[in-house]
Parts: sequence; C-alpha cells; structure tokens
Amino acid sequence: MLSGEQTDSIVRRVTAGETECYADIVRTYQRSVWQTVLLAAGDLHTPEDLVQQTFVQAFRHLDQYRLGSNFRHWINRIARNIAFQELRRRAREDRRLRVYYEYLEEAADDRVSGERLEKLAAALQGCRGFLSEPASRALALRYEQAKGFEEIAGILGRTVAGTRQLLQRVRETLKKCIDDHPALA
Amino acid sequence: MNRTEELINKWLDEGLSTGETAELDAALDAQRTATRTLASLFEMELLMRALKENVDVTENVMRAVRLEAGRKAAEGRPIPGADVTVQRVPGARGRVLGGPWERSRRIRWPIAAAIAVAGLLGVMAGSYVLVRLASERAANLRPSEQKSASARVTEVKGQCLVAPISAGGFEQVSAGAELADGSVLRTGGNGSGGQLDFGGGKVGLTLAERTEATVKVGGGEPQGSWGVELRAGQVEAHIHEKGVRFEVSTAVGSARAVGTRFVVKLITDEAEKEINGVRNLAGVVMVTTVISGVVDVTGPSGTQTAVAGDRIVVSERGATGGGVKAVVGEMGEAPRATPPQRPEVTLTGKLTKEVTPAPESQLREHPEVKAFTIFTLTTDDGRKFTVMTRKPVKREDGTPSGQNVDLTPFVDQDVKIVGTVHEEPASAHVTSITSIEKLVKPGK
Repeated sequence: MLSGEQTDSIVRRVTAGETECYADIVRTYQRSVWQTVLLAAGDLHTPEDLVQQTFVQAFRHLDQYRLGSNFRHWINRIARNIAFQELRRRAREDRRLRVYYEYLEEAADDRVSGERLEKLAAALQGCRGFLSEPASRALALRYEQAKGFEEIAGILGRTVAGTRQLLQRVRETLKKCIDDHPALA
Repeated sequence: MNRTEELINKWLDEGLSTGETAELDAALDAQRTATRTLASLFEMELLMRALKENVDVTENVMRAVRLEAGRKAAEGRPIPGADVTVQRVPGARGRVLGGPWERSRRIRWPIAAAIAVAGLLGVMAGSYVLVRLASERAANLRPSEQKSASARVTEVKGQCLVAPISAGGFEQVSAGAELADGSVLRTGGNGSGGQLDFGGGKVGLTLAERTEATVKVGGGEPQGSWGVELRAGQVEAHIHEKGVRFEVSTAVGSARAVGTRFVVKLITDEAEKEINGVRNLAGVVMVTTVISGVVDVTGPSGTQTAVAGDRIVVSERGATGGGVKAVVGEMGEAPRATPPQRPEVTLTGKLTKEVTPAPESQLREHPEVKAFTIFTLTTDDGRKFTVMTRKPVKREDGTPSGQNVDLTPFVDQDVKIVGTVHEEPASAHVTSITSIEKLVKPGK
C-alpha cells in the first residue's frame, strides 16, 4: 500500500519515463478501482476490461493528475466515468439497470465517489460483525468464494430455498445497517 | 417481504422468467418506492460482490501501458507529458496472454499473394520507405561462430533516432553506427526509415516509418538471441543465411518462420483496431505477411501455417495490451511457394467491374491495392466470384504471380470463364483464368 506521498513520487517517476513504476500504482489502487467499477457499472460479465481501461486512461492522462491531491479519488473518478458509460449503454436495453443508472445519476459525484466507497466498504465490514454465524458464513461462501446456492446449501445443511432466504435477509440486514451507519450519515 | 421485493431479490439471485420480468418492470413503472428499493438492494448486492478477491490486472495493464508508451514514442509524443523516452522492457519477451486468440480467414491465392506483393511493391515505392538491403556480409563466419554484441545501421532515410539504453534521450543515428543490446530505434514520419544488419549481413532488418523497436543482440551470446522487440510500426526481416535465427517480438501472436522473408506490422491505432473482422479493444493487431518461405503462426489455441503470399492476422479479443510474443525467422530449405492445385472449372455469368475495389479494411492497410482492378462475376446460378487482375510480377522463386488477362472488353457482358476458383462460405474468388470468351445467349 502506498501513501499519498509515495504515490506522488511514483507518478513523478512515471511521467519522467520510468514506465515500469506504474505497476506499483496499479497494484495499490486496483482494489478500489474494482469496487468503483462494480458499483458504477452494475452487474458485468467482464469487469476486468473496465478496470484495465481505467488504468490505461489514467496513464494516458497522468500529467493531468495534480500532485498532492488524492490519487485514489482521481483514479476512481476515471473509473466511475468509464463504468457509467458502460452502464448507460446497457441501461438502454434493461429496465432494471435503467433504474439503477438513474439512481446513481441523481446522486452524481456523491454516490460512487472514492470517499463514499471507502466509507461503504468500511461500513460493510463493520456491519458483518452483526450477522449471525450462519449468515456470516453464507455471506462468505456466496460473495467471497463465489459459490452457488446449491453448494452453499449443502455446506450449511439447508435447503436451497432456505439458503436463498438466508442470503436475502443478509442483504437486507446489511443494507439497513449501512444506511444507519454513522460514517455514512 | 412484499411481492416486488421478492421479485427484486429473485432477480438479484437467480434471474427472472419472462412473466416475472414483465411483472417487476410494471411495478417499477407504477411505484416510485419500488425503484428506490431495487436500486438500493442492487447497490448492496454489488457492494457484497466486491468482497470477492478480484483478478490482479497489473500485468495486463502494464502490457497496455508499454504499448501505449511505445505508440506515443513512435509518434514522437512525450510519455506521458514528459521529455523522456521509452524504456526497455525487461523480461517482456515470451509472455503469452491468456484468453482466446483469433486468426483471420486465410486470404486465399491469389488475393493474398496480390496483397503481399502489392504491399512489397508499395513498400518499395516509398510508402514504407524501405531502403536497400545491406550488401556487406561476413561470409566466412559459420552460424555457430556468429557472436556479436551489436547491430549495425547500414542506411538511414529521414529521421531515424536511437536511444542507447544508458542515454536519456534520442539522437539522430547515422549509417555505420553500432547499436548495443537494448538500444531503442525510432523512425519518424514523412518517409523516414532505417536499415540494420546483424552478424555482418546475415540478417537485414528494415524499419518502416513511424516504427519503434528495441534491438536485441544478446550481449555476445550465440546466434538466436538476435532480434527486435517491435512496439509500433512495421519491420521487414530478411534472413540471408541458413541456420540463422532471428526474432521479431510483438505484442500479440507468435510465429516461427522457416523461410527467408517476412514482414510484421503492429497496429495499435484506435482507428485500425478492427481488421478483417477481428475486434480488439486495445487495437492491438499483429499482421504477419510472408514474402517467401513458410511461417508457423502460433497462438494459445494452436498453430497455423502460412506460405508465401499469405497474411496472418493475430489479435486477442478483449486484450488491452500484450506481452511480447516471438516471431522467429529461421532460414532453412525455403520451400518453393506453390499455389494450391485446384481443378479447372467452367463458369458462365455476367462480368461487372467493381467501383469499390476491396474491403475497407484491406484498403486501409494496403492503399496500393486500389491500383488493382477488381471485377465480379455473377454466375447464372447466382454465385458471385471476385476476379482480380493486375500486371503480373515475378515471385522470389521466379514463378509468375497475377493475372494479366485484360477483362475490360468483357465488362457488362455475359462470359464463359475457364479457370480455377476458391470458394468459402463468405466469399469466392477466381484464382486463375485459362480462357475467357463472350457468350451470346439465345434471344439476344
């Protein structure tokens, strides 16, 4: 993880021709860019493309980054713009994505800003602590390990329908918790 | 949980049937609260999906960044916004991108031969400003003895800059200069170009205009380490001596040549990112044109063999850059390039002259193709054959290439053509014409 000063130092080196140093920036900020892309573009089969595009765009315009400002916010803004374009394109054909696009658009910069994303991620981690043990396990299996409902049901010793209900309750519990989280108030 | 929430959750978890989709869409149209619920639950779902450990994109991004740097450098623009040069890419050679690779349809004889030779003619005419091959050779050196830690510049035309790896910037290079391993060569526009030789003439390398390549001479290692890393533009490699190996590393694709001459062009311009139907997000497309001999082009899913006159397009769908793969040229017993044997057929139909002589993708890459005359033969049973004519030229092996039948008197006439054809589902060509005559149909 790079500090702001370290990031600025690397930006200077990259703009001075040390292209390979850019890898450190990618490694440090890709997690945040992934989150931005996933939230700003909606469900995607190939989010990697947008994440990669973000870093390539950032490289192209690295001279426009203001040293001393927040690099994470700067690159997340690029990610958000790229992902928004993708969401807008797909929203033309999908009513539910259009709803989500309008929801994000209403909030403009605020909804998918780097600062809010950091708070959201922190709030999510905090809220996970309020989940029951089975719910917490189901969440990990579904979202961290990307397992299917049937497999999760087998692991937890539940029916598939019961597992779905459990995960729906997880989603709603976390949503309420995050909505009430003081960091996001 | 009400019905709308139930549907939203089902949409997030497993998808909806057509009826359920309509029901949910109707609810979204009717209830403002439904849209808020969907949006916030979807956001929650996405946030949770982001918990998953994501794919590390560093390598892919860096490939794209290196290409971007090379492209900018080749255009003479700073990288990015500074007065510096492209750095050598350590260890880049030999990496293979994941994902599918695609190869265009083989451009069949004689179209491929026409394009390849036309490309060569165009190059010789000045489009790519090829310069004369070096004549000096170290004839007494056997391949096993060829050890050289430098390549020599034999000719320069226009702007041809070199940046030794230790230097901070580019400077104009002159004929006779020795280039160390890792030196970066960059040619300008307006007909600039350069010629190198490796091993005292064992390999000649021509750089077209707007090209950037890093010289590899292996620091005195045995032959086989000679080559260039092509970052932008086009090079033509001509291996003069049996047993000599030479590598042209490019961003996409891999080819091994057992022959003498091949051209590798790397297309990175946005405008050219779609070629022969191969789409590439980053616009990275490698085109290998085989002038003589045989080239095996290898991708993750296999090897394709190309013979003289063929052109292989290699791209990777969705790639935003590329690790450098090898195009290896090795002079062997260069097989005589012979067109495939096809039976003669007789076709009857109407011959028309085409206004647009070739697909846009071909014209874009080979503007010289415009000089060719292209006709269409629409046969009586409705099939369409492309017939291309041009002034015949001799291939390297001495065989004639091209059809010098003057078809102009037959335009808009019913004709009978005896010759060979090649048919594919998407296109068909008359590959040779033995005879052509006007037909007078009954009643006319």
